[in-house]
Amino acid sequence: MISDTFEDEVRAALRRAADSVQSAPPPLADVVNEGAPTALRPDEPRRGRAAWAAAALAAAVIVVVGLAAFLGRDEGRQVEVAPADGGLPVAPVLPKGKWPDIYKSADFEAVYVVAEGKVGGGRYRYLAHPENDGETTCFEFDRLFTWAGTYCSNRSIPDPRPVVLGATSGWEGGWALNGLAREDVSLVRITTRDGRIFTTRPVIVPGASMRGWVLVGEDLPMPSFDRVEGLDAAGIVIPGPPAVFDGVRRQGGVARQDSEPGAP
Amino acid sequence: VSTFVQQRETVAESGFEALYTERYTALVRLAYLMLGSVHDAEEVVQEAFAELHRRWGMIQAPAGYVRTSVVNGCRHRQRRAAMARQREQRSLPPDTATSGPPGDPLADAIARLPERQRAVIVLRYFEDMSEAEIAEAIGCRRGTVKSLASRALAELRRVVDR
Repeated sequence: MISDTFEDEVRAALRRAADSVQSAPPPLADVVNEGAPTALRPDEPRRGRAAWAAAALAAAVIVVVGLAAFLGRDEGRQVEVAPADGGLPVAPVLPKGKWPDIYKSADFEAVYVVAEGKVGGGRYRYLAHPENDGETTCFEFDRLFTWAGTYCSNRSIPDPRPVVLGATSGWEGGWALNGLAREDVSLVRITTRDGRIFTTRPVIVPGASMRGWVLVGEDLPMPSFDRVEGLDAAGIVIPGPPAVFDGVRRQGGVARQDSEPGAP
Repeated sequence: VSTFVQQRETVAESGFEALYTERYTALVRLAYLMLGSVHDAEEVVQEAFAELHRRWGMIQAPAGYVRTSVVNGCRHRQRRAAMARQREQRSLPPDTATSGPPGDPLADAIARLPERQRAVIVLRYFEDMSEAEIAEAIGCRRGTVKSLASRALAELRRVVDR
């Protein structure tokens, strides 16, 4: 049992260390680098007629642009996670989407996701740590219908992390991408029902005795998958496991299987 | 109307500046304890404030937001550094940064703790955050926070007793 006295010593040591730092704030303009902070907005500005008209116009533009984007959505677009130096995957810069900030500079050096809450009727929690000393890897979920990012985005959680989807151990019954976590799989390709293709490289999660898959992203719920398949180093297709879909069903999901998983 | 809005913007701007002035140094110290480098700490804090600035007006609790951003920024940086070391196949020595004045074995021992344990110790005993707050900040369960803190304290005690 650690005594309060020792905890006080720890407090004191931290305080001493902190006090050794003398750092005055630089000019604000240097930090926000735009000079006058024009982006500042009052919490609830009262709007005049002109402001409301402008807002209505902006809303109309958003609707039109959104409709155009929907009609011309990027079918067949392929997003690949390119390997960084050392073979580690790096997130590409994606078109602005639900959580654009993540992809600006995120390096997917490992899998790290935290999300907890109730989304779409399912409660889930991911904790997948690469540097956790092998101690904390837990997956608890009732159902998974959406990305953790949706939760982070809804809650305005700052700096949310990329999402891990699937792992070879610690998951219930062949869930997700189990079966493709094999040594001979060098790339995983996911085709969604609307024809988009996502490819990503498997990532070894050090210290966690598991292997995870990092997916790039957008809002890509599991039931939107059409097929999941692996590619070996030579590009030969390795069919994905039916467990991807079985897992959804076991969790009470509503995924339908329009085509055989792994079918070409 | 425009004058009114301008006044409100001025108020919002001064609110940001006040928070920046009030919390900057404290947050640099927090980041320093987690990173062991004043330079890195300043960068992380400045990035956090820049991010807050972009979202100012949309954030309900800016002080908590910027602190969480700093914690996340530190952890992100630590992970990058750890992975860089792994890429170099451990050709570099482990993190030898010290977080205290020379000759402070306890502070040195804190600086040598694994990243998550150090984060918990710093947030618990420097920031006086509750277990629940720490759990939310570093993204784990309260039980994990307890476990990390317990192990970290045990390790620190072991080092100090040695």
